[in-house]
Amino acid sequence: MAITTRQTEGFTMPELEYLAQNESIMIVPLHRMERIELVRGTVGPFRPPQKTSVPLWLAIMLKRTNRCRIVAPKWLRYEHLRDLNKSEEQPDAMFTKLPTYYLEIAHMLLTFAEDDLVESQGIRRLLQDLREVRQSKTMEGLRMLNSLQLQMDNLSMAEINEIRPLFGHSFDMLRQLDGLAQATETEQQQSQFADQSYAEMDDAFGSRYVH
Amino acid sequence: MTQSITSPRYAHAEGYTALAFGKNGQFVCTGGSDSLIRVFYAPKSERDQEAITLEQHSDNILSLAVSRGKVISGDEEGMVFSFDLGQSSGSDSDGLSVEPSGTVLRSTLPARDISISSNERQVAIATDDESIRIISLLDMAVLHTLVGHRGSVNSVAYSPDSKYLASSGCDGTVRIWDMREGDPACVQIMPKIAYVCEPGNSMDQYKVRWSPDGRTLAIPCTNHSIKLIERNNWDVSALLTGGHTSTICHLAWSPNSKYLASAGLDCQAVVWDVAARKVILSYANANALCQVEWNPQGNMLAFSDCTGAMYIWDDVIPIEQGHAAPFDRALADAVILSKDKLMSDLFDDTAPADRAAEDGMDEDEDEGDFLDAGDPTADAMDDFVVDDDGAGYAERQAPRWTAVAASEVQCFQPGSTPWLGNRRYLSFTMVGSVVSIAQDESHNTIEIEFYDKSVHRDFHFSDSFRFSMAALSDSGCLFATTSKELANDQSLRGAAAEADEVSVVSYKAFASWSANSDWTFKLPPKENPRCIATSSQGAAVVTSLGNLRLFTCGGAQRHIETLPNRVVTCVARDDLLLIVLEAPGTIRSSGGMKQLEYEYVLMNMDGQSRLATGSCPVTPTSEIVWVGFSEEGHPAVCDSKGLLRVLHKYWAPIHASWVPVLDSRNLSRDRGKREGFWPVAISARQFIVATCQGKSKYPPFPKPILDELDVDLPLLSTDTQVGQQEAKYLASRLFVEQQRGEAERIGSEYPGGASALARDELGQDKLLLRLIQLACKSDKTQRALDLAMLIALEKSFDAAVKIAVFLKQSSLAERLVRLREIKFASHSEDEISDEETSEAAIGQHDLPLSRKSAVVAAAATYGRERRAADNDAGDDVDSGSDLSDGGSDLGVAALKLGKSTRPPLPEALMHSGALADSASRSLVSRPAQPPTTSKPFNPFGVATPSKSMEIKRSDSFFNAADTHSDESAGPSTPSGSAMPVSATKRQQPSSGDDDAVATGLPRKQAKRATASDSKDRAQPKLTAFAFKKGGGSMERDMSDD
Repeated sequence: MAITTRQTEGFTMPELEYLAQNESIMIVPLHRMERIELVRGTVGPFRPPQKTSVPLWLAIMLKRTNRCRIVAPKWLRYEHLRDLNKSEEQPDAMFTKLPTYYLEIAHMLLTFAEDDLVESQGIRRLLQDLREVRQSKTMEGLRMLNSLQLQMDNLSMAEINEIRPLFGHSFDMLRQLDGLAQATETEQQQSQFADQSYAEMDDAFGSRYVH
Repeated sequence: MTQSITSPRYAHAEGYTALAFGKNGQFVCTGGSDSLIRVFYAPKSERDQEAITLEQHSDNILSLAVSRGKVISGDEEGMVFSFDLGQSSGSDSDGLSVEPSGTVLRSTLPARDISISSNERQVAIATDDESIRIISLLDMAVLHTLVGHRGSVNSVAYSPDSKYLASSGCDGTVRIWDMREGDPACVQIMPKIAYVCEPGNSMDQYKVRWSPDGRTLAIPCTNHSIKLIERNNWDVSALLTGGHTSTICHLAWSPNSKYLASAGLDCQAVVWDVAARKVILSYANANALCQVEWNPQGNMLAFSDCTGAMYIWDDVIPIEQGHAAPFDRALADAVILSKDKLMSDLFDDTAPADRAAEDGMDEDEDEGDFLDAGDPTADAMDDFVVDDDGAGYAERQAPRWTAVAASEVQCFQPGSTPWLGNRRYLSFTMVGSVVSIAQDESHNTIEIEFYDKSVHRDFHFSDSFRFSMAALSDSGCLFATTSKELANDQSLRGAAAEADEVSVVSYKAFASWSANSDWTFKLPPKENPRCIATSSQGAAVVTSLGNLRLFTCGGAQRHIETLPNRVVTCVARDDLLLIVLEAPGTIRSSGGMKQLEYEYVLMNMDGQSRLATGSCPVTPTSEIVWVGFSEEGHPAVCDSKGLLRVLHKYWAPIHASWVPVLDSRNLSRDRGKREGFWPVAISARQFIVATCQGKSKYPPFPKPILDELDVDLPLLSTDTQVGQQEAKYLASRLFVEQQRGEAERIGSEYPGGASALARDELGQDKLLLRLIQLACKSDKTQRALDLAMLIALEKSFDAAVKIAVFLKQSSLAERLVRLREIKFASHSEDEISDEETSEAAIGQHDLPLSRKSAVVAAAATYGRERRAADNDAGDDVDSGSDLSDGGSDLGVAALKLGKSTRPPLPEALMHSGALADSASRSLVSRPAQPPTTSKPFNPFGVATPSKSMEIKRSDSFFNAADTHSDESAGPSTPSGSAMPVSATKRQQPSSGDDDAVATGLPRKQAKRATASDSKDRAQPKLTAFAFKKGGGSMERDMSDD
């Protein structure tokens, strides 16, 4: 598969939000509706006030026409975010577990369904904090980049996307450098081998080194 | 004269400092310009302890009032807060705790003075505007606004019996309000009796105060004197002069009303002997004084000055010099003398209480509770109360009098809450919610909000009746009001007004083709609604006289009957009305513990018939808190221990039984936190609740998002997968049975049609198959067999066979195949009844698919290698296609089966016979069963010795298949031929073949039984068969052998 420019240069935030709209979310419908058959699957039936799970794009569409209330996901509650922030700020803490599209979902909910969130201002603030802490952690993590791997669990899509251009290039660069380093090493080894007799070398490596 | 006055305790910043003693005399509260309230310990030994500081206010505190349970404070920006007093530990003062308990009033102008009524239910607040607010301490609702003063009001004072309220304005006018009636009226205006003071400055303002015996009102007036006003005739009885040289701003009566202390701007605190009308003591301070207070329990005076300092004056009255103590009963004789005069008041006071008691009013119970509720200071207060006038005495009598009334049934409206702030839910259902918002004394606002916005629009209206009950349905909302409710919620109010107040029932239709479809009825006097219910088919009101009044939605009175006067609540859905009553056996112990028992009546909404009645169980020592119908129609009840039960089989009168479907207490325990669940509705799969925050028992405002708890039958070992599946199966069975029963009851078809029924049955079978699989895996084959008997659909049964085969339970598979023969043979009974008569004619092309697959499976157990059997339950079985050998081979397969795998009569089969026996007893026992004399037929063929018999049987069912195709005059479908065939066969007399007779008889009985009870269609037939064939006949076969 060809590598698209998106994969090398990263997505824009709206693009990520578009992707995130496929995540499902709970809503409380305000209108009774039968099952809807969609390409991606069926949603509903809507029986107010029972909660149903729908894709985010549908939830936002319904919300904008005032046909539902969005139930804030558990991780987007003030108390939960506060706890997350606390554990995130612990020294040596790993990244806490959040949905892949947490920033996008939070952004969309805060834009379109602010009235369904309790303490939305507080949530905004906490998200900001959370994002900053995580950002600094990612940067910290990038310093540990070597040519083989970089492990940062629970990184969300937006965060990966942020470091993607830098990471991609530097990883490539590191690999090249590493390749160079290895090449020099083998060269050195070869020069060592050169000191040994060709006969020995023939024994050791077979016919490859036969001149 | 030595005066023992403490050094100033600088409690607050410089400025006006308010002061109040606790009723037990143990502490003194001060509030000052640093917006703090501090609580000091008053006894000498504890005076040095650190004060409790409360930082609730954000502006200068101007007024303080302390009752037995509360501190109420008002500040300059008009906020009035209340604090709860608690005395947790035994040591009298250490355990003192003061906790903020809410906002009493938000005024725009400074709150100058606060007075709490003696029953601690109301508080009067004077603010700088021209009105006085009377606020209920129960729900913080503004009960009354007293208008009359010109200019700002600077003081208010309840008379000790709370009968009168005295207030004074900055223009020097004192008004007396009569608080006994529903609407307080000004009974006396005394213009310019006090001095004119400057509005907006507390320092310059004066306060009026009642003497604790309630006979005298003291008013600071011009010329630095104090006027004493006599109660009832409101004449000036005495004038105290000569003590002060400047304006008097505050007064305090000694607990026995013998002394009066006054504080003035001349920096003096003066103590007057009221009887002698002269100064006995005075103390000159360095700064102007603000407030002065007596310790209600001792010879102690506290006063504050404008520097924020607080002083305590111990041993104020020099008792050794012959003065009477300020707190003893020295004036007891005077009180007794005054009794004559107060007697009239006494009767005025008790009369409404009597009336209230007759109607079983909760108000008096509350009052009784309040007084008896172990108020820690109550004992210490005894003296105080005795010194009080007659009214206090009467008040203490009332609860004793109403002790009988305390056993009155407490009824409730499902989904309603008490006042939470100025709002309350009147009704909260799956349709929506009805909220009443307290506005002012003349009206409330009712807000109706729907969940489904596409059906109805939300609306609100102004409610001049002050409805206290509501019932909501899809088509309308029924409201009712009772004066009783008013009395409950709004303190003293309704008691007096009850006589002329008439209860109202009102219905608001949401949508109607006709214009004027709302209706209102006035109930006769003394008949008040106790609970109401409405549905799309009418409305019901149960009244205090026990009358059940039924209305149509249009307001036609359809039915009236009298129920025992123990109705707790009622609820309606479509054509059903569920009424819950307290059973006569209910016991209440005096300690508040109740052992309640309930009864229910399920009747039609038109009152014409009752579906079921009986007792309604609750968990011991709990009471019913919610009653409703499930979305599908199950009547449901939730008790205070969180156990939810549904009334199952209500459609079949004697079979109605309460099935527990959820123990929500376990649920909240599992969640690890103490969450309150407030029931809203129930559906077949979920219990829909509002989760309450914190300690609250009620849902918050605004309307919360509802939570759904999965229905979870409290079966045993639900922590295992098996238990969970079993619970799921039973829940789903409840649902399907109910749907079927309800459809039968109202004479409609299964909701969603036959396909929905098939789908639901399939869903049940899937759960069963999963259970069978689990049983097979753990080698519990008997259990698997038991479960297989419950399977409803033939193709699911085939899947069960496959499962058994796949899991190498060959003996089980065998039995399943035989069971299947019987079970589903009975569906198409005529196949069998005919098969014996026909001659052998093998027609494999007509072989029913299911039969094929069963035999195939049997063959597989016999030894043929089969790979197809997947254990995915519920999939269509098409194993028939593998059958290439033809019908003759089938016969052989069956024959072989009969021969080779003949076990010594397995106890499993015996057991299944016994099981079937018990299951079918109820069915079979109805018609007297004639003994079968003919040779019995053993369907299992395990012990049957003759091969020919087996062959004949296996032959004959092909014959049957053939015969069908001949007789039904058309190509019969291979698998689904049972029904049309049976229709044609039924007319034919069965032949004389003894096998047919033997099998035919029980079959017909089973048929009869199924006709009478077609809910468990497959199962009874099966069990009847198993009973006959498996149990009885086998023994005979054994003996034959």
